Amino acid sequence: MSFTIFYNRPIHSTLYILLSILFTDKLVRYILFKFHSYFNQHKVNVIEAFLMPFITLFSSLFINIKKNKLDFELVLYSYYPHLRLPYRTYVYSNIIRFIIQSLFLMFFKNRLKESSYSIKETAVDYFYNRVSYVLRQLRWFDLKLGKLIRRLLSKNKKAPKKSAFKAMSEARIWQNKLIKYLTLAFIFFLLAIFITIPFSLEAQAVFISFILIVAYALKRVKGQMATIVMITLSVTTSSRYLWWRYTETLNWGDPVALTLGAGLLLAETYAWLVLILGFFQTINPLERKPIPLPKNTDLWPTVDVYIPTYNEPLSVVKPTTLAALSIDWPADKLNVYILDDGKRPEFGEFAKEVGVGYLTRPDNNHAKAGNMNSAMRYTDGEYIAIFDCDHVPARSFLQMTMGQFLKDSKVCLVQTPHHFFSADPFERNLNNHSQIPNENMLFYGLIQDGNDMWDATFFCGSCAVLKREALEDIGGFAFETVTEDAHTALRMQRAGYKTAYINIPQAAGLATDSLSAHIGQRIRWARGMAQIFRLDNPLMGKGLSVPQRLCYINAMLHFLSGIPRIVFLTAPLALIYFNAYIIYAPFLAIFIYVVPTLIQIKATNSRIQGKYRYSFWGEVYESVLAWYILKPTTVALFNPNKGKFNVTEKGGLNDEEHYDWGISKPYLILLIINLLSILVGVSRLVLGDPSQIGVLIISMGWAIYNIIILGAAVAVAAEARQVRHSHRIKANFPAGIRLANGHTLKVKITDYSDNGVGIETEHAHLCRVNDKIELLMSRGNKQFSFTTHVCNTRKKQIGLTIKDLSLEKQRAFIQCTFSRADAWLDWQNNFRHDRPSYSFKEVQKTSLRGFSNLLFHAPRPLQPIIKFMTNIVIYVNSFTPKKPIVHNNYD
Amino acid sequence: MQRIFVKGIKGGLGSTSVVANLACVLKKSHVNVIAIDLDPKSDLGLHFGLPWKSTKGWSNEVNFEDVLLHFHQDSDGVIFLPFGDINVDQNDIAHIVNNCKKLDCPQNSWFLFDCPSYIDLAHLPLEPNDIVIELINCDATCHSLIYKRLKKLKSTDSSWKHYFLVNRYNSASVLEFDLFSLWQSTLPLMAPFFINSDEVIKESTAYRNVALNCAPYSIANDDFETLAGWLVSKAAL
Repeated sequence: MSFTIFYNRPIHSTLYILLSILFTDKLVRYILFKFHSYFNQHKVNVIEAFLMPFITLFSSLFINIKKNKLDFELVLYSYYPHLRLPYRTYVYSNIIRFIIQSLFLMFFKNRLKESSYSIKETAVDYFYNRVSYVLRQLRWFDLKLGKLIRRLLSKNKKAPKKSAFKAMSEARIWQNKLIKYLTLAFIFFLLAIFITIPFSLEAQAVFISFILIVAYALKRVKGQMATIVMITLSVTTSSRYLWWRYTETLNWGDPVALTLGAGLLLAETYAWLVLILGFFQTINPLERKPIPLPKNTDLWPTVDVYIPTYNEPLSVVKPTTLAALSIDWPADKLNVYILDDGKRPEFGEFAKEVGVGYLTRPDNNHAKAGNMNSAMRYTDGEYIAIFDCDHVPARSFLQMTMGQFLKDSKVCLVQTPHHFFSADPFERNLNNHSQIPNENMLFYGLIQDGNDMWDATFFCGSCAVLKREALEDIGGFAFETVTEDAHTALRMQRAGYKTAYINIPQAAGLATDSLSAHIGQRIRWARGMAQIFRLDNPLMGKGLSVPQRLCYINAMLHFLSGIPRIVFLTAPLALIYFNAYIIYAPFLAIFIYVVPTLIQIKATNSRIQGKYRYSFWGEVYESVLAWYILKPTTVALFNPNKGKFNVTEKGGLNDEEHYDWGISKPYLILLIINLLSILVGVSRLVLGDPSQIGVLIISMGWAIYNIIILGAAVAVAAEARQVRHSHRIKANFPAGIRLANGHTLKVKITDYSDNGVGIETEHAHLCRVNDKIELLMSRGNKQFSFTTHVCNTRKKQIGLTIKDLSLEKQRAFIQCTFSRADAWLDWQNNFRHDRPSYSFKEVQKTSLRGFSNLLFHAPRPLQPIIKFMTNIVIYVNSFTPKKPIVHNNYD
Repeated sequence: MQRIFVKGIKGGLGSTSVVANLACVLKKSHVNVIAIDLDPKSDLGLHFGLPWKSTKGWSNEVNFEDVLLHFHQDSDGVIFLPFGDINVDQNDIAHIVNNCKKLDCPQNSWFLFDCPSYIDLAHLPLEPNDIVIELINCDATCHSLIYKRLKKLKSTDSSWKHYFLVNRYNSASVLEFDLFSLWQSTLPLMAPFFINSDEVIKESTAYRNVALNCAPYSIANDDFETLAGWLVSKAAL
């Protein structure tokens, strides 16, 4: 020890000397080293830093620290993953966490170490294994039983040529009117008995469980007969339920409860009516097939294509016009017209350039219907095909549709589905495009086919062909309502014409691009339907068959869903807040009537609609619209002439993500009162009358369900960003490229838009960004080449941009892409059949997303409060025991 | 036995490479192919990997038995017969075409003849079952030549199946695109497809090979497959 050091660091040296008295030199150095590291690096205070090495030394007398040091840290981290680091800074909260977690670890199963099982752990494990084993066995049993029943039921009808329904409905026996009516009367009599006979609770329980057992047995049985049985069961249970509600559950003694209860009962009646009509509508979808045209094209009629436009940009109308020109039809029999209500000169120029007609009119009376009526004065085709200006038709459109007219001269309308290649606001904001069937799908996939069965196809304003003669017969397109399309079809049907629907997408367009626009569109439809209901009620008047009337009435009822939906969203609150027994019955009765009926209805609907609408999503879609269509439909019902046509805006951009507070306001309010009701409910559970616990729990369960649905509805209002100006459309067809050096390459087109193409090669390519590439695409036996530039490359994908094509080339490009006959064919096949539990999980997820969106987008003044609240939640949550981290053995 | 005669409507349209590629594609689909060079340039062998120093072919022999010595087989199994380096007249060509019938080969064998552009079809011993493919390029010269040819075909009694096939098609060229569209809609005897212009065909010759082996991912390769399939369907008729 040199004295120079002593003078430089006196304390250190003194300490050194003092320690050297007691310990060996090595230990002294160890102690000082540790002291420095604790004090300087870990910022431990002097005393602790000085004591720590002694503690370590002392413990090292008993355990081999060196060996267990790493292990200890690891074990602490694995078993107590949520202790806050550094441990010492949060010492008190960590102590609590440590204690809670230790208790948790002591009493609950955890499988960290495979070896060294205590007896208790083994027992727990055994228990869990047994449970999962039993569940597995049950599932297996369920599967086997279902298969067995299916085998039993489908044994004796090996190959039914006709569908069972058809065979029954066409049997000769119905020729005899007496038998027909007697059978009908007998069926209704039986139904009436089943519905109206009052059962004791036990009897009802037996009855309903019998029905559920039958329904369960039919679960795996395919075929229409089983569906019809399911429908019959649903009709019986739901009618029985409603009967019970009307006869036994109104609380005549309490005027408040009576009023509220009557409201709920009316809403339920509405739901029941829609359900029954829906069953009727979709009991036997027609699934009409296209009829081939005669070989001789001289027999093909002349067709005018109308493309009405008002304020859409030329870039939207252009592809539609070019594609309409490319429809496969004799050129001298196909005339395309742009009907421009915006009277824009550049449209006229464009029309002249590509050789289509351009029609304007002096006024803009009666909006779209007026526009087309005026055009009918200038054109003379035998048939009129109508495309909204953003619906790009496929080349095969007329080939698929015209056969119907030629086969039956009474057909006045052939409708094809509206297909949207861009995500609608629901899909975009919920980010589930082409994962969950969208709102449209149910209508175009199932309901229209069902309507077609009853000759009640709706005209949807676009992607359809109409017969001029029929139109002239009814005095042109109906213009009295804002939904001119449905009204026109209704009139033609009244005049004795037939309608047809072909469920093959033959055109595709843009979906509405914001939730507000979407809601605006639906408001227009709802208002229009209400107007038709008032002005030309399909229930009254001449010319319609009973099924047609029912189909129309169902469509109109659908748009009146606003009030009932709001009623359902608020119904459970009556009991929780006001103690009003809106269903005046004992808990057990409610339970026995409501739950099985709901299960039965859900199962039936899932069976019928499964491919087109997943369970519970209908409620979400309806809930979003409910508030907004409530007012216009009500107003239109009382004053049908009020209100004007508004054009649905499309093809826009959302530059930034934002939350549409305006739109979601009504739902926020509903959400808040529902959330509060849960708090009130819980407090009443704890403090209130124990006899009410049952009904309270049912009400709260319902409220929670409503909260989930509302959460999903609120999630839709968070507008996602929409970056691309033109939508990419997924595709899968072969093409070729020729590189600048003359080499060619086979490629697959994976997506395209009106100014770009994504391609994929299976082979190495040497393309770099900005390379010029010739894209070779074929249509028939013609090859078109397009000059493109590489905009991005990945391993096997190349993105190409197409710029400044001549009009001729643009047309060729549309022909090779948008108007391909197979462009939209696979849209319905991507969805698997509905599984209610999975679907409900999805709704739940969406709902959670809605809540987090709400918090994320909350207005600035609220942000600190929300931050504070979330922090509290996170903090409280940090105390809850956590599962130990399992380390992967393969590391 | 199916005989295919490939010739250009004028010189330099790539008939030799079409024969070589077609032979290879047919061979890969398990057809027994024998390619015979009737062109004094004698360059068909180059496509099949024959060294340029080997100059002998059928024209060097008088007897057909001796010709048999000049048949070669390439690595894919295509059998081919080079022309050689002696000048012959049209009768000799007709003679060798006829003699090929004598070859002892399986029933479903295909003979591909690479004919020079100047050869007079009337002098070849063509039968109703034979297919003649006349290659054209999308240019104005071919346009007029086609009409001449059609006139001639009409005047003479042509019993064979005659088709025009567009080779080295580049749809990016406006003229070529327009001409091809015109021909497709107005000309009889047009094959309903075309062979795309592709650098790979030139390159594969440089490798003394065919496009199918050099660049299986090129679309020219697809075109040859289309051609082969189409020929098979025509032969079956």
